[in-house]
Amino acid sequence: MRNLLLPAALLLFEACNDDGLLVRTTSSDLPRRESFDAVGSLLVASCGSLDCHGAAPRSFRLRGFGGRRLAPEHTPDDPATTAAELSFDYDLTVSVEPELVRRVARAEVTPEILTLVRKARGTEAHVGGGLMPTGSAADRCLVAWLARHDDPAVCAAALSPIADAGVGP
Amino acid sequence: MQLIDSVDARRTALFSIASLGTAGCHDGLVTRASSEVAGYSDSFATTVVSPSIGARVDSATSGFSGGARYLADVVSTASPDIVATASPRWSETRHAGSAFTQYKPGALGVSAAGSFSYSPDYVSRGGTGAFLVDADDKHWSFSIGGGYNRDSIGRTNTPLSVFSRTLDVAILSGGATRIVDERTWVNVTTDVFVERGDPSKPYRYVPLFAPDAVSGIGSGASLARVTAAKILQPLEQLPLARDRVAVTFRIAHRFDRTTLRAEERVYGDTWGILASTTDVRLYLDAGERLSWGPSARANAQSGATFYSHAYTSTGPTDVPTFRTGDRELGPLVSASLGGRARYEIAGDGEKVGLAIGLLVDGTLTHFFQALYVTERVSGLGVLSLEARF
Repeated sequence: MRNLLLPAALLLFEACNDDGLLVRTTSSDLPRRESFDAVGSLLVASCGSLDCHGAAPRSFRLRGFGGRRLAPEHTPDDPATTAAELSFDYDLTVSVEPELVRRVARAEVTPEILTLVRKARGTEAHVGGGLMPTGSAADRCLVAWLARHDDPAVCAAALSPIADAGVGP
Repeated sequence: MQLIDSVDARRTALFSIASLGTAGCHDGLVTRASSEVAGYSDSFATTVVSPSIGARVDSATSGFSGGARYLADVVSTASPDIVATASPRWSETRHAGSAFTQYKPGALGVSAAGSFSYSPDYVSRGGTGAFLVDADDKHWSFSIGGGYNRDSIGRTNTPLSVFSRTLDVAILSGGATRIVDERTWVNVTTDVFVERGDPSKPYRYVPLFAPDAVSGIGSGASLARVTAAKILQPLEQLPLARDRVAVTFRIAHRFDRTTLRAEERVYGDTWGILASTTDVRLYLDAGERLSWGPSARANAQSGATFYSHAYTSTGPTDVPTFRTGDRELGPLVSASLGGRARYEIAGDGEKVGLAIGLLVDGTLTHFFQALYVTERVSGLGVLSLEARF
């Protein structure tokens, strides 16, 4: 009995193996890189300090002015956030939950499905608290960009106090 | 979760020993109450302390039995995966309750069980039922049953209404036990689990590496090396369906003053994991009141087809569809050695029976493909007290 059951079980498992599990997500319908600069600057200023998402080991780690820099010769306060850092931050931002980000960009689901949005709003537990409250200019800038409905005016309004405080790029 | 499962499994093993030592001692009604404290610690800086209480009633004349159990798992960990996300030591408490009942007045019977567990980021509830049949003057016993479990996966300090995922599990189980002779029985059990839902851990991020850098990320690569080389780190994403099958063979034989129990479990699932677990235990009588025995366990498994300790990516448009940082889904082997003892403080001839039990167990696990660590050493101790009325 035992001699029969083991091979039968192994055959069953082999039949169930699915090489399709090794596929990769390659769709490019992501939020736009070309309109990310304002969003990236907001994220860096709000979240990218050295004791938070500017820390090297963090999963969602940002680079830019006021925090950790991409180039070793740069300091936290000089120069302003570079194009290379914004590209770095863009890649990180859209790849935390790549499948869901695509669904938000395709308007299949609302932005609240993203951990990034919930934590920024503070609706989900977040050590940093709700840095971009629901409906604030920063929140509207972020979710508009995620949904590919960029709103430069609201992003400019969100960046204004940061620039005034001298903590922006 | 697997850690807690492991503790539960060993606790169940101890409870089985306790039952072995007392079952059949009385006709009529037997009531047992027990309390245990289990402690687990491993080289991943994880500790679990689990106090539990339970009670059961068995009536040999009516064929009824029933019981309930409650336990709390107090978990604290600063494992490499926690450290890798620059997060502080993490602690939480899990509460779990379970109850069962069985009615088998003759050759036919039924049983039902239910369970519920709660931790700040995971809620699980489920139930099972089974039909029981004896044949050939009780030389054969059969059982077939099924169950359903629903888990809600959330995040600590976040309402489930804000974030949760659901994992549904349908369970089908069947078994046959043969009393070979007055000293020997054998048992075969098959368990099938059909899981649907997203079991991905909402805290687990998976580092991705550029194709030309991945060769430098060997098994056991340090946090510093991983941090320097990773280009992206998305959240874990596991397949949304998993079918699992386990077939377990057991044999027990009673020698003059020794009982041998051996178990072989083969397992496979649609994620491509194949596993074998072999467990051997001896129960030695050392006088009227003391029994003890060693145990040994060996486990080997292959990895899931989508498992890699170092996934590659060329950028956000090139991400593995399925990705995990759970080294328990990779190829591994483990070996355990342990022992247990049970002392009857008050024996069968007395109105109230009282027994104390101790279990110790050490396990070495080797991960063939994993980041940060390749081995884990763990220890488990369980102290139990059981009263029988």
